Formats: sequence, C-alpha cells, structure tokens
Amino acid sequence: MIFSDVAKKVRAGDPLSADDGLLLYRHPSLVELAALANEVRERLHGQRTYFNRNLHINPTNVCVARCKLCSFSRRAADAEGAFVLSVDDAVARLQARLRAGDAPTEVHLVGGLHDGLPFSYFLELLAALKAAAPGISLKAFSAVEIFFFHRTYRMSVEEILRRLQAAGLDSLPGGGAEILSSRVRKAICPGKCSADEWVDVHRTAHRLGIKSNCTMMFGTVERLDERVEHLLRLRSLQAETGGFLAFIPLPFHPENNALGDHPAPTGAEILRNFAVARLVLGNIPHLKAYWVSLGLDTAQTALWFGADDLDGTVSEEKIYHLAGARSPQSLTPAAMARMIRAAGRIPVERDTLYRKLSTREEQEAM
Amino acid sequence: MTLAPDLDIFSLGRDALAKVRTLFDGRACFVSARRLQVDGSWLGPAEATCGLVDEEALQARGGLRSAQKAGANTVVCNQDSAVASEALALGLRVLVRVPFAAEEPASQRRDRLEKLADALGRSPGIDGVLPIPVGEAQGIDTLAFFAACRQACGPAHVVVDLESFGHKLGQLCLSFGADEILGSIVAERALRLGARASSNEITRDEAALLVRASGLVPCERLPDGKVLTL
Repeated sequence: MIFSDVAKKVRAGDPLSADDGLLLYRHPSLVELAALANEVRERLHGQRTYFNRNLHINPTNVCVARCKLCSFSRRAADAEGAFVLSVDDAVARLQARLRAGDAPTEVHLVGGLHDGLPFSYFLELLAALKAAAPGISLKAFSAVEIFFFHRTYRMSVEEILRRLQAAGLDSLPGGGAEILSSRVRKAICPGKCSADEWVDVHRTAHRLGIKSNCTMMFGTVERLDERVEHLLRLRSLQAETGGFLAFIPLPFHPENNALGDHPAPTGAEILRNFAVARLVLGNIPHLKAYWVSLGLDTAQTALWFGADDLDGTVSEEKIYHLAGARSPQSLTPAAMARMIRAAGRIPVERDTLYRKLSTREEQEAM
Repeated sequence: MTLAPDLDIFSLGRDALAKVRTLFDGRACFVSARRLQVDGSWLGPAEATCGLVDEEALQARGGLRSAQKAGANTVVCNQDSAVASEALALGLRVLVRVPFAAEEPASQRRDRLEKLADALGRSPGIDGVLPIPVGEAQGIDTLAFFAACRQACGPAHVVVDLESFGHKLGQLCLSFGADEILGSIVAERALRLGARASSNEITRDEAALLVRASGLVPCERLPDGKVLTL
C-alpha cells in the first residue's frame, strides 16, 4: 500500500485500516497529508469553522490519581494550592459572565478525583448552575471522573450518569482518554480507569442519550501503532453508538510535571496527528483544535490540517496553563471569528451539539 | 492579510519545498544564536555560534567594527540599507529583515517581495532573509508568507527565527520554504522546572529533530560559516 492507494480509499469513503493509519503517520510529506485531510474536512464542512461561548469551571484540583503528565492536581486537600470550589462560588463565576453580557451557552466542568467529597456536591453543582442559567448546556465530568464516582459512591456507571443527567448534565467532555492502551496508561496514568472502562463509560452515556467528545493525549511514551489503535477504538465505538460529537487531539505539555524532561511534540507532529485523525476517523463529524492547548497560531493552522472547530471563548482555564500553555486565558467571540476569517474560513457560532447559532457575518449584519 | 479564498496553501507549500530541495538538496540548517543588546550584553546561550546584531542596535554599540569586536558575526539589516555593504566588506554574514503583518493588503505584500527580490539580485553577497512579524503572527498567514518569500528570494536562505515564531510555528515554516532555523540552541537543556519551566532553549538534537520531522536533512551552521550535515 502506498500513499496514493490510501488517498483513493479516503476519496471513496472507505474506512482506513491500521496499516493505512501507520502509513499516514510515516508519510514524509506533511503538506500532502494536510491536503488530503483538508479534502475530507471541506467535504464535511466546507469552509465553516465552529466555535462556541463557553466557561470552564474546575470544581477541585484535589486528585487521588498520580498521573505523571498532570501539572494541575494536588494530592491532598490540605496541600499548598489545593482547592475545592463551593457551589456558590461556581454559580458566582457563571453569574459574573451573565452580568457582563457575555452569556456562555456551555459550561465545561472537569476536575480532580477527590475522594472526600459527597456525590451530592456534584449533583448540587449541576442543579445550581442549571438554575442560574436554565438554557445553558452542562458538559461535565470526564469518563475518568464518572468511573471514579462509580467506584467511590458504589453505584453503577449507568446509575451515576442517570442521577447526574437528572441534575442537569447534558453531555460529557472527552478528557482522560490519553492513549487507550494498557501499556501507556500503566506508564503515565496508572491511577486512572482502564482503556476498556473509559470506552464503557462513553458507551453507557451514548445509550442514555448523552453525547460526548473524545480525545487523545499524545507525545509521551506511546508508539505510532498505539495511536492508530486508539483512533480505531474510537471509530469502532462511534460506529456502534454514533454518540461522539468531536475528536480533540491534545499534545502533551511538559512543564511542571513528572514527565518534564520529555520533549513536547513538535508543530509538525501535532499537525500530522490532526491530519491522520481526520482521515482515520471518518465517522466522527468534528475535529477540534483546542486553542488553549495548541496555542493560537497552531490552532489556526490546524484549520487547514483537518480541524473544523476551535472550541470556545473559554475563560479561567487552569489545566493547560499550569502545564506551560502560553495561550491567553480567554478570547472574545469577535477575536475567535477574526482568527477564523484570517485563515480563510467562515466562522460559525454553535451550541454544544453543533447546531448553528449564527455566523459572525449574520451577527454583524444584525 | 486575510487568506484569499483562491489561495492554495498546499500548492504554495509544495512549490516552496520543491525549491528548497532543488536549491539546497533538501538540507536545512539550524544555528544557535545569541543577540547583542543595546546595553552591550548578550541575550542567548554563551556557546552560540551566531552572534547576531540588529542594524537598529549598531549606533548604540559604536558601529559595525565595534560590534564585530564584541563577537557579532551576523548583521540583520533593513532592505536597501547601506549597512549591508559595509558588513559584507567586513566579512560579516548579512540577513535582510522582511517585516510582514497579518492584516496588510495582499498588494502591499506583493510589492514588498518584488522589491526584495530586486534588492537581492543587486547584492548577491546577502546570504538570507529573515521574515519578522509585525504584531502577532497568524499561523496560516505566516506559512503563506514564508512560501512567498521562498519564491521571491532566489538562492538566498529563508531563515526562521524561533524567538519570533516559537518552536511549533517555526518548525512548520520549514515545510513552507524556510531552510534555516535560528534560536537558543544548546548542547544540554536544563530540566523545565522552577524558573526554567518556560525556557525557550532547545538542544541540538531537538533542533535536528525539528528539521528531520519536516522531511529535510538537518545540518548545523558552524562558527566559520561552514555547514555540517548531520
């Protein structure tokens, strides 16, 4: 098999094999790879590039997992810098955005695995945020957190999800997937749920009508065949459930964590991963360039390497900034639209489910 | 400049990379650089092979000879500057600064590159061009500009300054016509901890990897200007 054979399969809409994925990762020309990924991106979305207005809230950074790649967590509740956000404080953060006339359409909630909090805290958190802004979409708790709740509170994953859903949960973020390989997880995040458990949480969520995202944290100790295997597992679950909205490649950040001597992935490696993901994950509709993690210039460039979404306006991002991200803490919708337009694409504001709210051109014409 | 709807970024990249392969046999250099400041101090690794002085800093440093005495071996000057010929006469390497802004009109950019091509044609001793963003660099626009520089600059090197573009975007420029990267490149980097957590330094091995991962053959530019293929 050579590149042109894989390109033929892509153009015919045939799913790529593990060998095809490896061939793409090893293809010498980044530009050729990007051009092919861009064909798929434009076939699916034309020039449209999505973003939303969102707010990040981290309920706690206290975490019992000992992930080598993490710069955010604190081991104990009384450790320096450890925090647990009160429900009132979380609501106050949302209300501050609402008062400023900058209402988010989505709250993104992820945090550490804190074994000293009652389940009721998380239910109250969701309910209070929903009460403060009834139309808002709550994208909360990675599969790793959901699985931790299942273990800690001795309820099935389904029961946990049903209760959270009843309290206001709308969708799941895609974090914690890292690399879906037991070898890699043992090396970098042995305290997290297993690859099978991560997949099962998403399968259960999808069955309950809860959409989710999926991620890949790459650039640590994984091999290329493990990256391909990761993509194929996600594609397989998507074929089964159709519940994934977007795939988000996340390059490893080396600052202030136990893998600090490991080099960060290079720009070419990051964009290659975007392009390969767009080509292998033909059944996952959106590919997100999370600008907080990538930096603005790389995220913008990714819009020509398969990505069609830049995530949101964010604000109060902690996880990547503690790991050395030098991107801003937030962007205005106008700045996001300008960045998209400067890349020759059409900005489209969306909600969590990728329903179009308006194009920036439409907003400006109003 | 908003990327024109009819601009084919992939064709630009293919053409630029093909030119690098033809002109330089697919090789791209990295060079460790330190920069002479107006106060006479150096910014960058002491072991750097390139001592860079900007034309703007020359007056404060007492002119070219004084800067050369202090260790400068490369001058960055403006297009059509008289400093270029003086520097060449002193045996210094000359790079021409090429400013570009993300918001500028395409016609203005085209004119600048045409004038640059003329200037390089008149001064064959000028060794390279150094694109410098005015304001914040945009990703895809930067790549398009590097590709356009490659087409405009004949056999001159197109140099990417990692301090201006960062490592990620800087490396991507190598896939769009740049054939040399310049930055704080050291033999051994300290751990990214404490005050050094945000260090911009990369090792020679990492610099070589940036080049190799772009599909080019890494070389190192040595203090005497010679190039060592790795």
